[in-house]
Amino acid sequence: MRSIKIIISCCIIFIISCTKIQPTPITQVSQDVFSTSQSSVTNGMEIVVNLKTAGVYTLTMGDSTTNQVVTRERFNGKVGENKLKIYTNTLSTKYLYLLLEDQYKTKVARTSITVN
Amino acid sequence: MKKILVTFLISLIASISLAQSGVGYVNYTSYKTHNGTGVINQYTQFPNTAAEFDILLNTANSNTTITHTGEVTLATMCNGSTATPHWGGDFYAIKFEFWFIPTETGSYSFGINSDDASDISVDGTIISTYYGGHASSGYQYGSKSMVAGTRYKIVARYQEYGGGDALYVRWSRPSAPNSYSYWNEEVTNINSTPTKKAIANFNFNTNLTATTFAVGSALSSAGLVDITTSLDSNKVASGVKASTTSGGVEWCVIYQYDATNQRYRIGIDSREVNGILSTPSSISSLQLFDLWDGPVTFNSYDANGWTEVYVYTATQFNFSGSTFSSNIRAGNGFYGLQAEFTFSQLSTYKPQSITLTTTNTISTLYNSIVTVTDVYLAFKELANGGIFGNQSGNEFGYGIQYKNADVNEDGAFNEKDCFALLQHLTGAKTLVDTFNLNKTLRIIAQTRYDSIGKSNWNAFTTPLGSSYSFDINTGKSIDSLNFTMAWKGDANLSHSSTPKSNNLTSMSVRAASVSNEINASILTEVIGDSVYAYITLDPLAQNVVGAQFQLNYDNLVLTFKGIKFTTKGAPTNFATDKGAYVNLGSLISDGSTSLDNTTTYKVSFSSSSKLNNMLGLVSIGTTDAVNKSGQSLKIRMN
Repeated sequence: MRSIKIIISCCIIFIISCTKIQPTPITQVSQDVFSTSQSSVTNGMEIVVNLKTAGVYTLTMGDSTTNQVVTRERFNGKVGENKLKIYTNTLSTKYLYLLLEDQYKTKVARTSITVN
Repeated sequence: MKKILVTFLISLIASISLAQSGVGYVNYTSYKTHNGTGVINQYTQFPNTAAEFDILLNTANSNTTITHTGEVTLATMCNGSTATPHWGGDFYAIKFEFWFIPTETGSYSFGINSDDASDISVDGTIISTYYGGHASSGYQYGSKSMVAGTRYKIVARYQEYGGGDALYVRWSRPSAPNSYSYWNEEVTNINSTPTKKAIANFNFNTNLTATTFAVGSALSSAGLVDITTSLDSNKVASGVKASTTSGGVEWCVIYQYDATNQRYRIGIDSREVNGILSTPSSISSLQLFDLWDGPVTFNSYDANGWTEVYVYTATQFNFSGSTFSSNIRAGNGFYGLQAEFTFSQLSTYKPQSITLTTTNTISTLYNSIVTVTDVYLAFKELANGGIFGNQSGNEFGYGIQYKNADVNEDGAFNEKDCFALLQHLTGAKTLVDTFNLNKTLRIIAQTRYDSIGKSNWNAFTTPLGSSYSFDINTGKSIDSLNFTMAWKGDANLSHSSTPKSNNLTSMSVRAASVSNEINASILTEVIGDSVYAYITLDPLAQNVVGAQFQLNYDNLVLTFKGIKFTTKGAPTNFATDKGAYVNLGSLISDGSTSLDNTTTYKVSFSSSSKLNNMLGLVSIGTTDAVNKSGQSLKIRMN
């Protein structure tokens, strides 16, 4: 009788361990990365950049460890929310900084990001 | 259920019993001496020399017989115990034998103390004695210089005539000469063949990550890996060893030393060989009393005469100092030896081989190994080689640089190699047809690597390959193998091991060090359906003659369209689409002009879908630059 109990217990554990846990769908939302000091980003994620004035801006991504610039993009910014995508497939480093500058190379905002 | 439990316990006990052999155990042979009654008509009560001890234990004497053999713990031998099985309480002797594998290199001191006589030898050489009849009243010491990991055969023997009986053995290690004890880990029984171990140590260039390479298991960050499991532990027959014991008949003759050929000719009466050895020519090793224990070369066999071998040695035998001198007779131009022969089959490990693997994508890694600096340096070395190319240039400091730069591997470094390097850089034709370790890498023993000089590099024939063959018949229980790595085309040794300086090479490698920086910047933007990346160069105060960038792009979104070069002078500009990155740059191979701050590369891509922005779709990977002097420059991206 005791052996039967043990066998049944083992079967239950086995069945539970083999049950596939379905991931909960995550609804992607735009993230205002400059509103926090540290954000996690994934490939294709949308970020929000809030601007007070319209004009030509640059977003620079750099390696936080070596301080080397990895890439930089020039874009036309509008007042208020600017939704931009961030791509990470080509990046070989995980810890980066994100620097927003205006057309005069004046720093507007800076934050750290971690690629997941 | 009970049966299963009992069976399990029996198996467990059996496995524990089996595990007792090996480390920390010694072999013993027990003798009844003096006929077990104390008679002294064949030898004295107590041996006073090693030869007398030999006679005591010689079963050719009817008063000596072997009573027990087996294994006991090291402690049983060392701590005065009489637990080793033996004859009676008096008139006996015990010979202990074991392998000693020191854990340290240096002088080991061995102490022996006994009641009655005793001695201890290492590899056939007596190092400490305590002969005569006495109580165990103090240790007698002798030392032996040893090498860690090397296997030595130790024999400790003692005899008991009457009264008390005991043997004590201890030793001290080189690191603590006055601290005596006995350590199981340095001892294993004679029947146990120690498991051969091997450690590989790869001397990595700092630009490579050792942990991304493996030999079975991943290398440590220091480049070390235990390759024991990669070894083939099977042995193969490799000749016969002839061994001698003292006897009553001169079955052996040693002819006068041949100083010209530095050898002895030794004859074994073929009556000792006939019917035992079907192939006398297989004798490859000889233990001849304490005169010689090592390899021999077979000379001849006469079934009705002598089986002759040569012992090659620069040092003549010490006949007069032999402990077997009573069995050696000096004749006219020869020595006759009263020796009995036995023969045993020898075996050796097969040739071994290891294969290095990597988690790196070689095509990408290789893009940072063979760069614009290598190509420029090769051209510069060639230009400095004299108008007939028969002079050594002054850019390469080490012979291995020539070997790496001899990319067509014809044994000569010349313009063909330089243009092949240039073609590789520009993407016209790659140096290898397949990007893998087998085609791009040489694994070389460190000692060999360090001996490659500027004058002898073309005699160095190690082929490219990720495998390395070696021999583990070294007599050591642990082999340490030191390897270096040299990459085809790596003229500036940016990723190859740096050789030690020696009289074959110079001290410096002019292009290997990174001592200067220049600036560059990147800017990307989306314009309509196209996306662009602009790379601009700022040489600062440097005369930059070459620059190279790996521009990564997301090939799921972008397709490379082309590049527009803005460069002064007439450099060789290049851009090759590698599928996930573009290898681009410029090279002025003759150094006649230089790249200035107007140098710009405009790279265009098309996208598979409408893009509002592209941050991260294009990014900078590895970079390299070189100045007119051949110095590699670090590009600071800003």
